[in-house]
Amino acid sequence: MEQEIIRLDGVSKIFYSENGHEVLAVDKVDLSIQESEFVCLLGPSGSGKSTVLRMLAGLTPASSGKVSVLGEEVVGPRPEASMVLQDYSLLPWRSVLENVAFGLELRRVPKEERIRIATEMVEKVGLGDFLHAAPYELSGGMQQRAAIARALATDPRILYMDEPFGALDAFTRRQMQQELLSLWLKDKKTVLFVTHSVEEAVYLATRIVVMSARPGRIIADFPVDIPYPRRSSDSEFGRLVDELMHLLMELAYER
Amino acid sequence: MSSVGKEPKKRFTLKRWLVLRPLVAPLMLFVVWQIVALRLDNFLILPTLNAVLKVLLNPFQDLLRLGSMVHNAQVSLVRVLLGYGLAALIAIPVGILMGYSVHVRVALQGVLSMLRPIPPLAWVPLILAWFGTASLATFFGIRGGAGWVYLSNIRVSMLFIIFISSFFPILINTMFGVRNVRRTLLDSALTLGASQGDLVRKVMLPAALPSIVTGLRGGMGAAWGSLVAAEMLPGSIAGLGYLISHAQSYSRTDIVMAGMIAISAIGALLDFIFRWIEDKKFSWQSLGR
Ligand SMILES: Nc1ncnc2c1ncn2[C@@H]1O[C@H](COP(=O)(O)OP(=O)(O)OP(=O)(O)O)[C@@H](O)[C@H]1O
Ligand SMILES: [Mg+2]
Repeated sequence: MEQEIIRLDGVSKIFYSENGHEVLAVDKVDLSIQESEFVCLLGPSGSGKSTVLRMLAGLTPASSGKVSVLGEEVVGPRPEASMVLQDYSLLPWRSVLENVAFGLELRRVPKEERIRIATEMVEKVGLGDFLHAAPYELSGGMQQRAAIARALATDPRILYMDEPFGALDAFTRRQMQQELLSLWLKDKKTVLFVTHSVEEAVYLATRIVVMSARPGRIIADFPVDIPYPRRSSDSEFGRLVDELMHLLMELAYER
Repeated sequence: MSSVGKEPKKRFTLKRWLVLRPLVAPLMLFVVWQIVALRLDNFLILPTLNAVLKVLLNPFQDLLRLGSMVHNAQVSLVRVLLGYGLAALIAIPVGILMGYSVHVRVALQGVLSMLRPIPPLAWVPLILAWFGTASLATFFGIRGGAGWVYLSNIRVSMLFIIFISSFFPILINTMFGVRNVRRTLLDSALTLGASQGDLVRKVMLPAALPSIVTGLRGGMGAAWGSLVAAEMLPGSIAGLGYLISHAQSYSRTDIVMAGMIAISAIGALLDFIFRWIEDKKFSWQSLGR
């Protein structure tokens, strides 16, 4: 039943800045993720979380090492995976429905069918009244709902999320986290979720992977066994948040 | 209570008057113009407002045997639209390519930044050497028929000047529009399965469209602006530019000024059309970031 779906073998990424400097953004990262895991990639700003995600999504190649998804080396974006970014990723000239149908349109799904699927997805994320609204008419939270619906419309096995709730207020953020969890609990798609909020990671993940800042390395990796729905008032929850906070603080002082 | 009731009324009447603000400066200009014209009493230097109005209010009347104001405006408009359309037809695809591919951009940037600073007028001597007074009719080898009347009136050299002045604004804006497409839009489209062709057609092009329209607007302004220069080239026998330079040699300053006003009005109208498109079609851009 346990199937490995994502694998990084000694993956490094070097960027070359404009003045010729080499920046080692990700340093020999090994990571194996099984199908149906909800993994949070946690780390301070600049620790290479987005870079890891972008390499997995096939948006940028690794400088060395091997990135594979479903046993195949990643050479470009793959149809089994979708991505949700922090904000402003909806095409502003398209309606919510047209945005959600975009992935299906790119896969040449016939118009009627993609409208049917997209409408269903839009309703699933609670935007049924906003099918024909333009993105700028939606609040930040609603835009992220639409972005999630768009990512799910192609029925991916993997969902990459790069701080998808990072720009939302605390209340909306919690609401979105709950909804994401209930979606995930239904079909258990593999999720790789980048965040720098310790609280968010503990609330969501079945496993937390912590990265250090430059060069980005994995410094901790452990399962979270608290049953859902989690409450931040639970003692186990609080203990884990404290522990992670401590770890990240130590990391910050070491530098 | 009573003072509260009075306040808004006062403001209201004041606001109504404010609507007239844009008219203040033109009115003052006209008044000063008329006073100075009457004082000077020199038709050559400054004709009166009514003399110019008389020309403008009879747009179909023949002027100096060069045809009516409307006819000349029409000739000019056809020329501008032709040179401009040609420029847009080339500048937009090249701009898209330059925005899309670093290689194309690097390859073309050098020669374009060499050509761009040359004012359209500086091209005139060279253009005359190249094309002389050849018209589109000679260019296409047409010697008679309905098309000849129009085509023989359009000199290749004029088209070139109009072309060259509208080409760069359209090209630069298109290129920047494509280059400035948000990374997040491209990344999302790629992860959703977009091919490079999809990326250009379904993301870059629509995202760059507002910028392209801005370029088209600037290009239209530039094309219209170089019209007079183009129409003063030898071989021209009609057009607003020709009309005003010809009227000047007949000492008809009233026609000169009426022609200038016509050029200004048509230019403003064209600009207004583009502004309208920008406002109506691209509301997502200002509101949506
Ligand atoms: N395209 C790029 N060119 C040059 N350097 C880059 C590029 N992208 C990322 N970097 C550098 O790589 C390092 C890691 O960046 P990355 O965006 O992956 O970090 P992150 O963990 O996602 O940070 P944040 O939490 O702020 O989003 C940073 O030092 C960044 O400056
Ligand atoms: Mg990031």
